[in-house]
Order: sequence, then C-alpha cells, then structure tokens
Amino acid sequence: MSPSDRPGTPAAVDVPSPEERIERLVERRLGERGTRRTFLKLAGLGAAAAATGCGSSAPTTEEFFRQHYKKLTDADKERIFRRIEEETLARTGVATRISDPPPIDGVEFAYALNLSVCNGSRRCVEACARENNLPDDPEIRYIRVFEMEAGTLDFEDSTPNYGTEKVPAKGKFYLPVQCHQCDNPPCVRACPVGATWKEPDGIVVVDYSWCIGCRFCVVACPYFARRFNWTQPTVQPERINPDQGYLSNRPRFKGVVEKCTFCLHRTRKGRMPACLEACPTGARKFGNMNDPNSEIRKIIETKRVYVLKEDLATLPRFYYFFS
Amino acid sequence: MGAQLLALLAPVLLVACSIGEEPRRLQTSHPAPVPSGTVAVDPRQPLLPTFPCSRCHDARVPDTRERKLTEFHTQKILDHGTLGGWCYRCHTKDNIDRLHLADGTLVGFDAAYELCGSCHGDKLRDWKDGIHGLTTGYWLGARTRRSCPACHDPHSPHFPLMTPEHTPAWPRTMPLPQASEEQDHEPQ
Repeated sequence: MSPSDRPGTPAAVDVPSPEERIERLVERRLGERGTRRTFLKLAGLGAAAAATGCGSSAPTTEEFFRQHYKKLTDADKERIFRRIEEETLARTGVATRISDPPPIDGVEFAYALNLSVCNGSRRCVEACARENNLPDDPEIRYIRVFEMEAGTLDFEDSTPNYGTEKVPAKGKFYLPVQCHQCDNPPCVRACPVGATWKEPDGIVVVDYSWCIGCRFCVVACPYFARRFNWTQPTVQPERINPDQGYLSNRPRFKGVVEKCTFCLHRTRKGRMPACLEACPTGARKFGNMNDPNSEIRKIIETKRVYVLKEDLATLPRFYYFFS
Repeated sequence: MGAQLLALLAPVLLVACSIGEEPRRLQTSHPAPVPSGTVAVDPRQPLLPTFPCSRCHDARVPDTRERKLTEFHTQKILDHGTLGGWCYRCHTKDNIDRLHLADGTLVGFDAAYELCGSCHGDKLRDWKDGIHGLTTGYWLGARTRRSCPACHDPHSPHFPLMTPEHTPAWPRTMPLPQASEEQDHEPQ
C-alpha cells in the first residue's frame, strides 16, 4: 500500500466508499499486470489465444474449460495426456509418458518408518525430488527430515535445516515428515473447489488443473506436507522423469498446490516408492495394509507404532516405529 | 508365522553348502485378496572379490592367533563387540569357503544372515519379516532383500556415518528478488 492509497482524515470529502475502493483496486491491478488473472478474464470473454510457451503459466483454452478429473471420460483423459506430453516435448525436448493407473481393488497403502535406523542422510528427499520432477529453484521438497534431540519428541528443539556434517550426529535422531495420507484429511475438507480428494487406496491426490491456488489446504495440513508453486516450476530437461502420473508427477504450473502421493505412478503398478528404494538404511517400509502377510502389516501388528499429532484425529497412514 | 518361516528355511540351511545356487526365496504365503508377492535375498558370494577363498588358503596353515594382519586382508579391522576367536569364530578352519554356526553347521556366504542371526536373533526375526533391512523392487510382486553384510561389514558392523544431501532451502519457498525475474506475488 503506497502512501497515496491511505485514506485521508475523516473530514476529507472524497473518501471512496468501500465498494468503490475495491472496484478501483481491482481495475488497477488487472490493468497493470499481464498476469494469469488478466488472462483468465480475457479467456472468459472468449478472446483467448493459445498462450503456450514462453514459460507462461496460463492455461490453454482447452485446459481452461476442462471438466473436473472425476468427470473425465477415458477418451478425454487420453486426449489430455497426449496434449500434455506434446506440450512437455515442445517446452523441454523430453519425451514423457503420462499414465493414470487406477487404484487397485483391495489395496490400502500404508507407510512405516523405522526411527531407530533412519540416519538423516536425506537420500529420500533427493530421490523424491528426482522422481517427482520437483524444481530446485525455488526449491520444493516433499520430505523434511527433522534432526531431533535423542530421548525427546519435541519439535520445538528440532530442525530440518541441519548442515552437511556427517550423520547421524551424536545425541540426535532423525524423523522424516511427508504427507501422511490421512484417513480424515483436514486439507481435503479445506478445499473450496474439490480439487483434492482421497482415493480408495488411501492416497490423497490433487487435480492440478482444478486447483485455484487458494492455499487453504496448505494451512489446514498439520504436518506442513503441501507445497505451493509460487513461480512456474522448471526442471532441467536432463533431470525430468519421463514416467509420469496424471495425479502425481506430471508437469505442474504456477499457482497450484502439490504434495507427496506415495509415488502413485509407481506404487499403483506394484513398485515401491522412490524414497523407500533410495533409503540407505532400509528405514522405510511400504505395502498393502489389507494383506495380512505384508511387511507393513507385520510392523503394525508386532511393533509399537505411533503417528504424529494423534490428538488431531487425522488418522494418518504414515506410521513411525522403533525397533 | 515366524515358526512357519523357520520351518520353510530349515531345508534351505541344510543345502546351503552348494556354491552358486539360486538365491534363496523366503516364501510368503498369501491368502490375501492381493498377495504381496515373493522375496528373494540378494546373493553375496558373487560380490566377494577373492572368492573362492580356498584358492589361497588351501596352501596356508591356519593361524588362529589374534594379530594385526600385514600380508593379506590388511583393511579388515575386527571391531565386532566382544567377539573372540579371531577369524575362525565365523570362518571355518578346514573349509574356508564356508562359514559355520556355533553348532558347527556350515553355511555359505549367501546365507550369512543365519550366522548373524545366531547372536542377533531379534534382528534376524525382523529381517525375515521384512521389518529390518532394505527391500527394493515390487511390493506387489518380486522384490529383493539385502542380506546383512550388504549394509554391515561383518568385521566392523557399525553402519558408517554418511554425508547428508544439501540443507534444504526451507522454509523459504519463494525465490529471492534477484533469483527470479518472474515475481507474481505481492510484497506484503
């Protein structure tokens, strides 16, 4: 707010009414910035040109008038996937393949993390970034590894910003935090447009094309697991992972929220998540909770597991245990 | 379940002596609607640079004295708790290509986990259940489990210290003004 915007003394004659003020403000904003909002307005008036390329975050006309993910037919999806692949190819020169594996019947995913062996090497953080095409500037990472004081579980005394000295440091243990895929997800309830929801296999997903970027979900999440794209996220072409899932690691754009999806483009095809395979200590465990012989079930049945912020009744699918 | 696994593993132990056999499979029975598949243990023997050991050791007389090795295996540092008995506590004096359990049962290097588990039974139990150790591949299908020596050098089994990946730029998620031209958000 510049000084000239400040209302004058109460006695001043030309004090605008609140409505006028808002109107003026909106007009000025729209007028002076050739931004996504201006574009959306123009597109709404039918004056949309195909504004792709140039790193623009503006959606194409087709993208703009797209249905919600749940209303898309298979033919719609096919067309959309191919279009995104073409756009990626034109923008980066990388041939990608977008798929949308559905949830597997009878499968409910759960994750467990062995705090006794996690050594804070952050290999999972980087493997996740590579797998999910996370940008380096501004840096977006789904996983934060907290360095905790041994013998406590106090996040006040912990830091995710520990340096690169050898780990594990004396008197510390390490607690990685990522999306817990809650069964009672506060982020889903916070979304005013239904752009995020819980899938039958337990994964909370985001339809990036439906997200309006209000960031209610970001503040609703008690684990700080959601990330907002403040700028157009770019990944170096040689680091792009061509195996992409429509609801997971496909290209995102400025102004949308994203999050960990347990690598659903991998896990729904039966593979382990990328963070698990990168872990040098084998602290991470993943599997189908409905299978009584799965590793994850054995952990939950035989180990003392706990979840973060249990008192919030978010019912996470991410369990921590000591062994 | 644990008992079943042990029962399944017993014949495996008895035939563990043959060299170059298929990696052992821990069968997970699966009455579940979506079975989680099978687990194979990563073989260790192909990774041993000097195997078969008998190539040299057959021509040498076993020396059971504790001493600093100056001729061969000079990098090997024995720092494994109060494990006495020097090399031949685990290696076998008259069959150097095999390890042996406390009761004299011979096990191959691929089944070294049985030897580790003869002291660290709780870890072996967890490892067989997939709780301890790294398992990669398919949660739904075939996956591979690392054997104990893949992560812990049996002679000095502490997991080595590691240099972590870079410190996150967190909690800054917005680029600094000079870092990006394209700023779309309002300064507060």
